[in-house]
Amino acid sequence: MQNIMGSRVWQVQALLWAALGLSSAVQAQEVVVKPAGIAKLLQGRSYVRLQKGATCKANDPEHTVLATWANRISFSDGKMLLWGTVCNDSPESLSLAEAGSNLLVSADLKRIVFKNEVLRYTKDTPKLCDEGQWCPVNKATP
Amino acid sequence: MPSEQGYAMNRRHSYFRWMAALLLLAFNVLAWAQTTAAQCPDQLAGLKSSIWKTIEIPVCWETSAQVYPVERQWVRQAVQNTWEKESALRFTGWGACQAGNTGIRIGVADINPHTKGLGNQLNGTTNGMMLDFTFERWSPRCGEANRREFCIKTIAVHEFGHALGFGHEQNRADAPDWCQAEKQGTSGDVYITPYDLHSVMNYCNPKWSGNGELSEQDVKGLRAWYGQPNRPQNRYDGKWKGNLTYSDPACVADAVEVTITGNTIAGAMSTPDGRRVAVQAGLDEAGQLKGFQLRLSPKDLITLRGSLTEGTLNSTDCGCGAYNFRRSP
Repeated sequence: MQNIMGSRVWQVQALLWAALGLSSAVQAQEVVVKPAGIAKLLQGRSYVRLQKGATCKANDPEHTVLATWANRISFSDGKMLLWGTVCNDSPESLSLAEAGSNLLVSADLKRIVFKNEVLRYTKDTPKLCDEGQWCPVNKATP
Repeated sequence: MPSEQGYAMNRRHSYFRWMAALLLLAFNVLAWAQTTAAQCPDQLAGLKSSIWKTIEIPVCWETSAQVYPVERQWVRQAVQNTWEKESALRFTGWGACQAGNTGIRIGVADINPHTKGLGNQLNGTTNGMMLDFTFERWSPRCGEANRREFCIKTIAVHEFGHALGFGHEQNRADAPDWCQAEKQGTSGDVYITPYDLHSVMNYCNPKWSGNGELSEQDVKGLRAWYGQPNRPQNRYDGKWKGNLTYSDPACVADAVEVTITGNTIAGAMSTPDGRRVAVQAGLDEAGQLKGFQLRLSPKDLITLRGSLTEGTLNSTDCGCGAYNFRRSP
């Protein structure tokens, strides 16, 4: 992974966002996290955007249609993983340096904005129904 | 009501905010231009860059060896009978992961099986591949006794496809619209073969993940990236140097240089007294030498037996001995 600590992209973005008081997506009272140490701060954290009624088709023998979140982003091993729906089995993997100019993090780390999409921190992967993440909504034809 | 001073400060603040906004805009335009300029030449190699640079890829399990021995064997068999059988690839190791292990590190949990990226992005990543062996909380019908082995093997074939750098076939721009609706995850950026409905990497395959059997196009794509099945030419082609040592202390070690092309070995031995003796020999599918003989004189014949890299020799003049060959830089 590239060292984002010294990344000029992060430094300039942080200064400018701080000056702006952040976008409407990240509220004005919050200050963007300083770039130094952000990789460590985000390590192991997961963010989701829930959307009522969102579904996806699982890659299982029945092609089961599942309830899903709209998007999930997690951070591990210095990488940012863009999962998309609960059905996806190969997230897009970006280094934080690659994500840098498109990623904003609120000061309390509870929200991120990536490419204008706001995702909220979730300590545990959210349950989409009582059973967890396997939540069939109907059967689809293959 | 704000004081005059406060009003002036607010105006100044507002001025700074506008300046910052303009600067931010300018900066982002510049950053975008730089990014675009930097990424354009790489676009055709985006996921091609995730191709493993080796045909021997280490695999290890994050869980202890005592857990799920049967299921692990199913996974290994499924991979051997597909990706390995149809290419020059070898998945090695398959033991318990140690700290710092490179290659594909497999975790097991009752969650959606997945890989954390494609191809060599997984190299050394803890739990880089996750597989499900119980199916209690994910895809529960796969947990039924008569389906579990089939599901484990089929999923393993699909996930190892990701681990080799192959994305979902339904993500392709030339996939039919009804199938593109199933777009998931990282899209490939190099189309090696035409769109393939029957690929193990296609969610739209009428047979779920091709029932874990590679399609013709899967095999073509695989070989384009990772070579033909295990034939000597894939593994041994090139120049090799050998050292021949003899049990008879009176005999000086000899040096042999050969070139291997496919299963043919051609080269020569140079003796300390300046003679040069040609050799023609063969190499079988398992990398064992065939008919490797060096005739120094009518009465002096050296015969090598063993694998290309090492084995024993017999010399009518110098008795027994050993040899080893190493790749010549």
